[in-house]
Amino acid sequence: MMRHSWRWMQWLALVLAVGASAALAQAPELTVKDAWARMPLAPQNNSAVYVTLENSGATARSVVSVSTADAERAELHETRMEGGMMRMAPTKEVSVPARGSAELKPGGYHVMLFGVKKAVKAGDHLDVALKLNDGATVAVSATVRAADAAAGGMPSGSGRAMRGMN
Amino acid sequence: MSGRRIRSGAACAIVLLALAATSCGRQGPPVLTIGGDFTLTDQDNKTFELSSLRGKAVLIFFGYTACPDVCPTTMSKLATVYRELGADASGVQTVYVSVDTQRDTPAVLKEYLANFKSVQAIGLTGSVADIDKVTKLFGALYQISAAPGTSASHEAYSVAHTTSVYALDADGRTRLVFPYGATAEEMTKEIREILATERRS
Repeated sequence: MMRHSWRWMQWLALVLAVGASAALAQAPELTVKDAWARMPLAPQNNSAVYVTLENSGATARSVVSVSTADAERAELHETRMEGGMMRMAPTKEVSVPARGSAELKPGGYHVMLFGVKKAVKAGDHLDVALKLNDGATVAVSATVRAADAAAGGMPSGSGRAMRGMN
Repeated sequence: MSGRRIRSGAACAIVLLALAATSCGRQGPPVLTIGGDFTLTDQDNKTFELSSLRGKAVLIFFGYTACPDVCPTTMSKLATVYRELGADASGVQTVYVSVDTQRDTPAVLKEYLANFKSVQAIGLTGSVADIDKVTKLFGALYQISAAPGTSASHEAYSVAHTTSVYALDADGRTRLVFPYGATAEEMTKEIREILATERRS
């Protein structure tokens, strides 16, 4: 009886351990919220993707590069006021603090898309991949907003953390 | 009749003087020393004179069409302003002056501004010297910086620039400078004030 119960407990421990590690692996530590993209503007068809990244994990993460199949090139950019001018320049990383968030928004950080190749209308999506400092990749599907939509319009979009894609 | 008008005019002038330190609806926001008339080339490749817009409130913005963040943000904000102005929008004309003379040809400006139909901006370009004259008039700045990793299909330089919107009254005098952070609501309110300002002539 005693022996039987011991074995059963070993089983239980194993199941719990496997379950817990599976749950950990699937936990979306970095989640994507309110992803939207500007309508690519003719004739250059450049666009910018904005998104809020939430980090539920205990470790700070950072976005170190971006890529997309929907445009000729994607770059991580920062716009900032400098000497009375707004200056846009590539930036090395956007950090997302532990149990915190980072916002890519107009006048701040954005994913710049050069020459969007896909024909889109408002409500369609542009997909970009954010590569993190730990090698993980976060997929972002950004909803395209009309060019003259109100700046404070309802943000929408979707995306979820995907780990270990690359 | 006419004497009465003159007298009431004089009375108004006295009131205006008395209220000069505060604000008087018809007097509008204070006239700024920046600005002045200029000539550039419009999106239809025609000569454009700022003086041709007398009678309208004018909003001047310096930008460039390859700009993905700041310029479209401002243009969509102006679209909201136009919507909020409603019928009064017919008394307002937006002028988009490109600070990227190399890429922003009249044809490029025309195609770009068609993205913002509700604003119906006049797009202006010219030689670097022409643009420099205009930015100097308004105290606006811009700086072209080459970006690394230029690809064949994109001359991927970006242009740092002043992001203010300059608001002129119907006499072409600069009345307000809206910073980048001004909301559409604030802008609409102040533009209405300019529209309500009595003309000089």
